[in-house]
Amino acid sequence: MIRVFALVVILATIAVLILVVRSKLVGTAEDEPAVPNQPSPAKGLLMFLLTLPVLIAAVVAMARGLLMPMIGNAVGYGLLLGGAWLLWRGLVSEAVYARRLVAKTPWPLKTSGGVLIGLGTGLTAWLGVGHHPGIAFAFGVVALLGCRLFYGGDPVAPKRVTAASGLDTTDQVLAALAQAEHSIAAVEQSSRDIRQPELNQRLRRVAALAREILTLLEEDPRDLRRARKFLNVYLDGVQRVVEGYARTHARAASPDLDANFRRVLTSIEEVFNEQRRKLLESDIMDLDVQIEVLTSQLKREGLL
Amino acid sequence: MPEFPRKVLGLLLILAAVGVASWQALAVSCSSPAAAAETTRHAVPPR
Repeated sequence: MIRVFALVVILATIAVLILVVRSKLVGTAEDEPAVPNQPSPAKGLLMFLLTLPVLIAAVVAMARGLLMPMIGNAVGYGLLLGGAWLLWRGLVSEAVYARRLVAKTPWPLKTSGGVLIGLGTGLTAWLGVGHHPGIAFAFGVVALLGCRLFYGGDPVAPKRVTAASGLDTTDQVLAALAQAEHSIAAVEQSSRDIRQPELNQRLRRVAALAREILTLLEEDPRDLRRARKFLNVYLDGVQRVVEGYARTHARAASPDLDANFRRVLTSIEEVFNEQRRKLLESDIMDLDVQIEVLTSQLKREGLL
Repeated sequence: MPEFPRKVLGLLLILAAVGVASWQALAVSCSSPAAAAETTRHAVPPR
């Protein structure tokens, strides 16, 4: 049974190694986007697979009544697992940081993961294998160095933005963008409760447009007033409208309400499209007028 | 150091440290009781 386990782990490790090497050798500049959206899963899986034998060793040591190897392997595996998880979170956080144009310095997750991997490897080598503490320490240092070289360091500098007045508005822009993301997520969540494919499709389009507009605002966040107005009036309004409709729709079907909601969604979609176009043209004056028009319309419909 | 050699070297070091320690731990756990007793020699000093 153990041999089968070992064989499976070896094969899986080899497969991951092939994937990692292949992605480095075959991947060209044309294949990969300049800013990766997601980290390579093979890089994250590698550490989880490499450490699996320690878990099996801990179970076998327990079954055979070997106290020290069992403790060493169990604690070592816990540290290795924690390290592998932190490394994966670090890779995800790095991808998000690379994609964003405004960002705070992320937590040094990859460095913390590397330290845990080093500690886990050293402890396993000392108590699990029985190496001299000095040799076990060397194992830990080599593991730490390997993680540092393979996974790289954490981003250290924040991506800051300053307003036209020269003030640092990074925190305000990030807070506004986070609130907007929350509103879009709430719209998407509510749309799951609406069982009408046509409306769902419209809502998906509205959410996608809202994300595009956010990206445009993020690209040029110097005018936070404009961003705030869009986020507060538009997204907040859309969120309330969709949530309200989803609640009513769940209780009773009403053709009038459906038609009204469809009309509002069409307006929102049109105005969002217009917003995106105007943002691309940097026509701020016209944006404000559009916002006022939509606000009046939502109020007229009794939705704001 | 250029990115590609850095990553290859890092991968090799990870395999040499984490991979070797993991498989050695499994080998020791599955080995004979005498070998397993030897394992505790460095961890628990003799009285």
